[in-house]
Amino acid sequence: MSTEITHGDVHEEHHDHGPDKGLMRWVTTTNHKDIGTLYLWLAFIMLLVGGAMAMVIRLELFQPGLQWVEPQFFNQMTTLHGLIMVFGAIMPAFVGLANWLVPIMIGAPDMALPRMNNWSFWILPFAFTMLASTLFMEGGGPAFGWTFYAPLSTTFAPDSTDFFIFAVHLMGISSVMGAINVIATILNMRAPGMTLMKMPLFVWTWLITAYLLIAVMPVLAGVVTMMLTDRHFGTSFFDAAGGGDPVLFQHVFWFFGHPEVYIMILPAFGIISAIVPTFARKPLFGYSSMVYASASIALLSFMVWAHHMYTVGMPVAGELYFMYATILISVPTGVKVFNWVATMWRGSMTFETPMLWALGFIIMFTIGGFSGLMLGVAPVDTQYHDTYFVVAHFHYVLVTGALFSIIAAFYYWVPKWTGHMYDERLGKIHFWWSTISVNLLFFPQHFVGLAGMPRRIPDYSLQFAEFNAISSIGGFAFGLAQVFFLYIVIKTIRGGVKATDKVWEGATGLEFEQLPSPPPYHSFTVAPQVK
Amino acid sequence: MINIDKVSSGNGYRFVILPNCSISWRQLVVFYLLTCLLALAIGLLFTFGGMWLVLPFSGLEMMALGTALYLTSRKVHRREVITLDSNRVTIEKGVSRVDQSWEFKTAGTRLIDEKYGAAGSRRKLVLGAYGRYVEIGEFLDNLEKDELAFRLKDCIIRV
Repeated sequence: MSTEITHGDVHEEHHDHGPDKGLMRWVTTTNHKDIGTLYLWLAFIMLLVGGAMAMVIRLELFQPGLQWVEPQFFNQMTTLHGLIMVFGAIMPAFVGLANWLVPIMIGAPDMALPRMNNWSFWILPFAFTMLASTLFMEGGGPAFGWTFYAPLSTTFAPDSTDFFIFAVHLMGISSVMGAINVIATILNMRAPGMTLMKMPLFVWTWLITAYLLIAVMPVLAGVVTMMLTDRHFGTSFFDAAGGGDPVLFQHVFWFFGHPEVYIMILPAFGIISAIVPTFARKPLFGYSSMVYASASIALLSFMVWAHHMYTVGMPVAGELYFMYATILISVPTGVKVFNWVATMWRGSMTFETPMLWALGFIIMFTIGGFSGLMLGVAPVDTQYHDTYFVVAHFHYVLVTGALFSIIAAFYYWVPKWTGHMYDERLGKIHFWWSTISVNLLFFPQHFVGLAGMPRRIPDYSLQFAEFNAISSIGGFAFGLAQVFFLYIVIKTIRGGVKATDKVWEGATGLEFEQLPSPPPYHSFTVAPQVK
Repeated sequence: MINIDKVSSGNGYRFVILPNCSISWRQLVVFYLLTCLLALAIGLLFTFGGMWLVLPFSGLEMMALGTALYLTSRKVHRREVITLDSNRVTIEKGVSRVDQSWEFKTAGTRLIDEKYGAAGSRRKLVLGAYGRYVEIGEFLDNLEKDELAFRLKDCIIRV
């Protein structure tokens, strides 16, 4: 005899609980949304800290001569600014976006390894505190640039370098744990019907990014450990006097460093590929080609590292190989830009704030890409190497590229996250203020670079004075714009017009079509069906 | 996912219940081995250049990745097998082998379909008899639980 009994609503189970109360919610949380929020706040704080260091740099460079800081401190600022922006602002921001978005985009209830997710976040504040604390140590903080070339970072480095090495190890462990989590989540936890070629491009680009991270992080860990053993344990990996080779350091560093650039830009491609179709009200043009282009960029990123070191004296055949391989990357990158433009072609375009930031990204990232092409040409790079032209190039890629995409992502998804619309008027002011000032900041650096101004110097020849003054004014204005952004962020979190579930008329994807705004603390506890 | 077979010997049915799994074990192993190969290639490249300290970090990282993939795939590769005939209902749970099993007399078996949460959005299917009950298909979505409940009830009546 069998019976089926249907009870009424009986009880709430453990799964239905909301977040804990108080500070411990954030310390012990394993919820992907909470951890995403923590990452994004940490990235914002680090952006302001690294930005403050940039302000010191621009203040000193406002006029020729030494006015405000000692050259040694200036070098510490350039070093920590670079490290904090790369490892503290851009990367954690993308990991924060991945935490928030990957599970709700693929229909998973959370990340695959939630406890590891908590650890990978909470390592970071300690790592950055340790890194920043070097500024207060005897001999000062690291002053050898974010690329920490030997022997500056070994034989001639201050004692605080050991703390820098440990901090880099911690950041690396955090990145690896984050990458493993993203890979395990995307591979194992996609909703029924969510095949690889149906995944949103943000998920795809993050899968590829995570793979890149997995591939290159041991190289970073290895190189800083070899620095440590050279400094304290009598090895000579990078010491010519002991049979080592300082140039090998550059090879190892850039084998990590160049894919690292793509780690910081591939998720941006995913974000732009989500925003442009929404506001063009057309499906993304060439989805498959976007996936293959992302994979090609990742693959090529392993083969071009030495274009950062054309001037070390490599054989011509080597220079030719790295030059051709570098220029080859423009093909898949061009495919992406072409597809975004083709998506917009004859679309019903509107220009809400996220779209403005996305368009800003496309135009200015392309400028950064073109200057990258120029730098990729070996005979020309011999003149450009270590000048402000290089500084202009990578800031167009990382600020108007990566950072603009992160800000675009904030405006695009914040109504979904908080249930509140941001203030459209303030968002547009933020965009135009940032765009004008960022171009004032970085565009003149092309000219001073081409005219021969070296990077990483606190003083310069009088001929560069006007462009540097313009650059500094742009820098202060851009910095202030991001403080204004902080106001917009807080205002949006605290309230605003209620966002609809779909948020944007043209939005697609599980997070917009199947979740309310804001989504419940535990979303997709029942897997959605993807058609 | 629910698979139902008619048991060849006798008049019984077998339900095999699997959680949603977006990658097969074989694909996962291939992915992992390719990643190991890449990590090994990079590690060896630097080892031959004299930078051998990259290799141990590659090894450590591959161990971490392997452990993470194994643990998460265990969750999605678990299965529940319910075998029922006119005498007995057997429930077996495990990953690659039977880790837990229960047996009941078919005559007293009850299937309880419990709704809870906001507007009954959550479901719990419980199978058992005489005070011993086992939750089944915990990982299924509501539609699948509907189907499982319907099919189980049908089979219990038939046998």
